[in-house]
Amino acid sequence: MTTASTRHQPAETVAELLDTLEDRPALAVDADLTVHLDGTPIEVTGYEDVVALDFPSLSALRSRWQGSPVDAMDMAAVLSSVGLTAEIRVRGVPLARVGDAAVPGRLAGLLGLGPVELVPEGALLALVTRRRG
Amino acid sequence: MSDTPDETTTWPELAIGLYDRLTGRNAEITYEFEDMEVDVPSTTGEDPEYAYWRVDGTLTIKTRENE
Repeated sequence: MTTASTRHQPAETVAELLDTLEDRPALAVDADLTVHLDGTPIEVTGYEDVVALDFPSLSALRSRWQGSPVDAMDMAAVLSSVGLTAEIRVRGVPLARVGDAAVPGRLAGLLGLGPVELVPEGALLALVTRRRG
Repeated sequence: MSDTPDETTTWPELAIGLYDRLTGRNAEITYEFEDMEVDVPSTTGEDPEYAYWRVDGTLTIKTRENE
C-alpha cells in the first residue's frame, strides 16, 4: 500500500504546534488594526518583530487578560518560536512584553502572570496618563 | 472524487496552514479588513463561548531570515 500524501498529522496542542514550528523562519508582522473585542477597542500595530497591543484602560487590559483562552506560558512559547514579541500598552504606555525579546522578571512570576517582562513604571504612567484628544 | 478538502479545525492547524503558505515562497500575505464582524469561539469543542470581534485595518505577514 502506498501513502497518497506525506502530510503530517495536524497539530492539535501547543506542544505539537511548537514541534511543527521548530526550525522554521521567523515571521514579520506589519499591522495597523483596530480590533473591538466584546466592545473593547484595541489598537494593534505591527513593527516587523514587535506587535503592540494598545488597550484603552488598565481595567480593560485586566479583563481581557483574565478572560483570555490562551495560557500566558503557551502564548510566550508560540510567539518566541516565530520570533515575535507582543508589547502590551495602555493608552500608548508600554506595560509588559511577552515573547521572543521579553526578559521575564521575578515580579511577574510573583504576581502569577507567567513569563512576562513587566515595565514597572508603565503601570504608574498608565494610571496617570489620560488619552489625548 | 473521493478526497474531501482539508478543513481547519483547530487554532494550531490554522497557524500551520498560514505558515505553510508563507514558508519557502518568500510570500507575503496581506489582509485588509473593513469592519469585519465575527464571533470567535473559545474552543473547537462542544458548547464554546463566543467573543464578538470587529476588525478594521490592514495586517501583513511575511517570513524573515533567522538572525
